[in-house]
Amino acid sequence: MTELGGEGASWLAWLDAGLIAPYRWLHDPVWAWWAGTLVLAGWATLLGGLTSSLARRANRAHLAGLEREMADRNAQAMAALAAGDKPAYKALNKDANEAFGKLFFLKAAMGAASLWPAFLAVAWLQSRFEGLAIPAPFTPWGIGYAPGFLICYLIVRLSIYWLKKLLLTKAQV
Amino acid sequence: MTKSTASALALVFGLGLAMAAGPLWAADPTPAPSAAPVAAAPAPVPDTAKILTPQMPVQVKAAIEKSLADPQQAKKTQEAVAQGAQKRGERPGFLGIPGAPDPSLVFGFLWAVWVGWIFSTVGAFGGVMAGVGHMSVFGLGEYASTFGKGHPVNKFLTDSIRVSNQWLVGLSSIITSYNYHKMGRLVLPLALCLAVGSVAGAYLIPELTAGKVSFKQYQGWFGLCVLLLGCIIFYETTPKGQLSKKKAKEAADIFEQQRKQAGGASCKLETTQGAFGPFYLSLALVVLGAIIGSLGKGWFAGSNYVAYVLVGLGALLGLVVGFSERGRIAFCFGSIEFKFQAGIPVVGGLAIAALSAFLGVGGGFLYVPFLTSVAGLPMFLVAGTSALAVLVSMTTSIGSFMVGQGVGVEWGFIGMELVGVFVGSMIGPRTSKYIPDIWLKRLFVVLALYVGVGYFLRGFFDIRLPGV
Repeated sequence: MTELGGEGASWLAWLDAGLIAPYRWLHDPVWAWWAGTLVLAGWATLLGGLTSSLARRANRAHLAGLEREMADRNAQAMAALAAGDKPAYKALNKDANEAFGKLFFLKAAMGAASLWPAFLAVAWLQSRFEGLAIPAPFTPWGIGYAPGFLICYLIVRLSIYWLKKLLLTKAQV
Repeated sequence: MTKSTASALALVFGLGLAMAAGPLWAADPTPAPSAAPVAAAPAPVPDTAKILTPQMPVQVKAAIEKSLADPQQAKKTQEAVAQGAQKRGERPGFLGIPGAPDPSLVFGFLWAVWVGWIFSTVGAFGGVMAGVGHMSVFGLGEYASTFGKGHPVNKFLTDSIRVSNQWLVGLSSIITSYNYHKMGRLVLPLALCLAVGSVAGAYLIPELTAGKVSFKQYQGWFGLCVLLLGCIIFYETTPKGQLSKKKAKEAADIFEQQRKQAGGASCKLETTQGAFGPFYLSLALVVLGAIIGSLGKGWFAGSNYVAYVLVGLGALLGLVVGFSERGRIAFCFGSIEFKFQAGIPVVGGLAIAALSAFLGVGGGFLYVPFLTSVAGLPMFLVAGTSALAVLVSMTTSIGSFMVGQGVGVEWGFIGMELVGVFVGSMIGPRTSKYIPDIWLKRLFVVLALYVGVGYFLRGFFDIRLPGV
């Protein structure tokens, strides 16, 4: 494993002791890397989920307002089209476009709340595992730290999604 | 002076201050100047071995080693690194290059708060501001230029800036696409046609331009697009441009009554005309070509050419069928039938994805206006499909750049920017009620014109405006 270094990595060095611990749980270095990365992906997902909930709560009213405006304008545009008034349809559709644009980018910015821990996790992995080809289990291939983290992140996110769905279904029953 | 005017002026002043101070924000431990003025000593030539640092990603090492293999470029590399070391000290900066700017994470965060604020108030222009940050505020563009035209490190840094812009803009579409999928508002024939064009455009541009565009060229084209965007927003603030808003307000009252009388009748989406088979084949060819081209480098000899042929054939099939009789798609939404020629979203997807892959911005806000204006489709139906098109094209473009062409990024810096964007998205909704839309648009016209003209002049004519 490479040494940490550089001024920009000082904050990473501060977190390093905690982040590297799961990588030392298993004896086999390959399985240790995958286990550690799964744990790292779990932390990134959890932290992202927390900040994402915070963003949704804080902007709930504003989001609802924009969605209502977009839906109203669109429905009015469709009513205009049904009535054969094309100029009115175009004007209302354009307004609906604007409302959509604001909503789309607001949701985009809020989406950053879910994903920022993953990027910081990859930055830490870069400082530790740059240049190494990690063997993918049961295959002859080696992959880099970024694709490896992506695989673990997808596994964790999908698992949490299915678990939530299962628990919700059971709660409804 | 009204509260809104004061707010707008405060924002302009704040931004002007930020841009003027931008190059000072990089954490550079420059040595104190000596008391007596002396003639500038030439920068000592760094030892070649010291140029390659342990923190440097392998892709950056490869670009530097490529330059060191050519005597002229090697000289440029050593001069640029020496200049950087003289200004900022020898410690590794951006992408581990000694003497490179080391953008302060705190100021990267603050700029990203500004970007997030724009995303959540104006809608468009956020990606452009992210690009301005990467190029001017953090000094990365200036640094790339020091390596000179045609230099591998100049091109690598330019590509890294392009991909960093795309990460910030493209990530947005993951969340919104998922939401629209849950609502069941994705129009399949439209999605197919857009996907054919956008995958082709998003794959081909990185393949054809990665490692070939110098920073100055990129800056010039970026400036031209920002200038065009500024002109469009300016038109919308003119009395003629505001006429549409007036018409919409008048029509809204009339049709709101009709909508209430009609009740909440559910609208079903049903395709009534159109051949999908050729578009599925077209999409399969384009996607297969992109996968072979990006992931399959070295699988077999000539994999690049096979990829080009597959993508080209897929796009051509989509265009030929799209503009033929079989390309006339019709679908019903509620009681209204909509028709469009499939070739239009194929061409639109190609052009928009190519533009956003080249510049790193512009995908998010171009699809919907294109489809509603050119194809005449209602926003309600195109919104979700467009979000998916953005996701597909950005994923393809980022994959093509990073996996296919080996371009690297500073992950930690992007992560910190995302934190800033998220914080900005929390502030934006709270300030938007105090600033009227028209004033926001005027603010961005001023910014777009200044940044656009500045980058255009700097990139193509080497004329520098203050702050850009």
